[in-house]
Amino acid sequence: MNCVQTPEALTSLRERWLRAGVTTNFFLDPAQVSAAVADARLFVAEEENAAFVLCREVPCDRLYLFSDGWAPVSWRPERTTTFEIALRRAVEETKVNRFLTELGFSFGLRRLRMRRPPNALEHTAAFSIGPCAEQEALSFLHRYFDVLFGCVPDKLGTVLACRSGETLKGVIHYTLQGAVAEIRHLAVAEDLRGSGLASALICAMLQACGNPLTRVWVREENTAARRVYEKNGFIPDGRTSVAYLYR
Amino acid sequence: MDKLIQILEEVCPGVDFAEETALVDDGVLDSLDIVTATAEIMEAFKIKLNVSDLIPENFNSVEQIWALIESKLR
Repeated sequence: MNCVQTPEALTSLRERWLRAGVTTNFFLDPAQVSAAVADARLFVAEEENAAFVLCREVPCDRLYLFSDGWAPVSWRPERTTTFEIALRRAVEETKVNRFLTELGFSFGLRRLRMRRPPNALEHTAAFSIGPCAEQEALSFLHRYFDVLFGCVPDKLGTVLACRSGETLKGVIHYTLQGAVAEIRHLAVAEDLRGSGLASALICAMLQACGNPLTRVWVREENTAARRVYEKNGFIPDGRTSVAYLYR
Repeated sequence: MDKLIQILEEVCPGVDFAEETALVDDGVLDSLDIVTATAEIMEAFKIKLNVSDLIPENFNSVEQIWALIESKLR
């Protein structure tokens, strides 16, 4: 694979592959591209039927793909690599699965996107929730989120947390872009599960953001998390994604 | 325009696309949705969109997306 030397080179590749019939999971924003190019962590390979963009990260590479009709390719990964794509429609999943299986990937998980309309959330449970140091929140989230598919970034941005004495008991990590918030990670310590803390964290986050439209991607099999979100007004919006792993 | 609304409803269900005028600014469509919709739009209308076309100003409403499509059909 070739190391991408400039962000413009990647734009040029995207331009070539932005055409009818091509499916992609490429959604790195310009800042992410610039950072990866500056660190020489972005690599590309092109074939007749597909282009591959690898972003080298810890602990594994992330694959972004432009595929023309999921036709067979000769490229194969060389290191532990994850791939995730939002499906356009259910029928596409079969093609995606066949394509990635041929590349040596195995199915990892499926996520559902849930959304909550922009309105306030009443919550009565008494928890003291406030800001938290980033490193402390990161350590807490790493305990509960999978290292390959958990998507816990190096830098969190905005978090709120609940602690008991010196010990963190719950963390919510979120972003607010425009009028839409996205819950990126929500975790509660085992001894406080079922106590209402998760709902209290969601409520605090909504209040901090001004009760906007809010989204969250949740693992399909995580019924406990889905129940918490449903209880707080979230409903599946019909989008699903599938994630694969090569190792 | 019905075909466009059908594509958008498949990409992002549960949205009243006829009424929304800030689809991107209000976050109704995120970057993933735009990428997905772009592929569908190019296929359905047999047009070529460019990376430079994928800006919020072109995707905030059905009318704006339609204007973009029409500009490529000329």
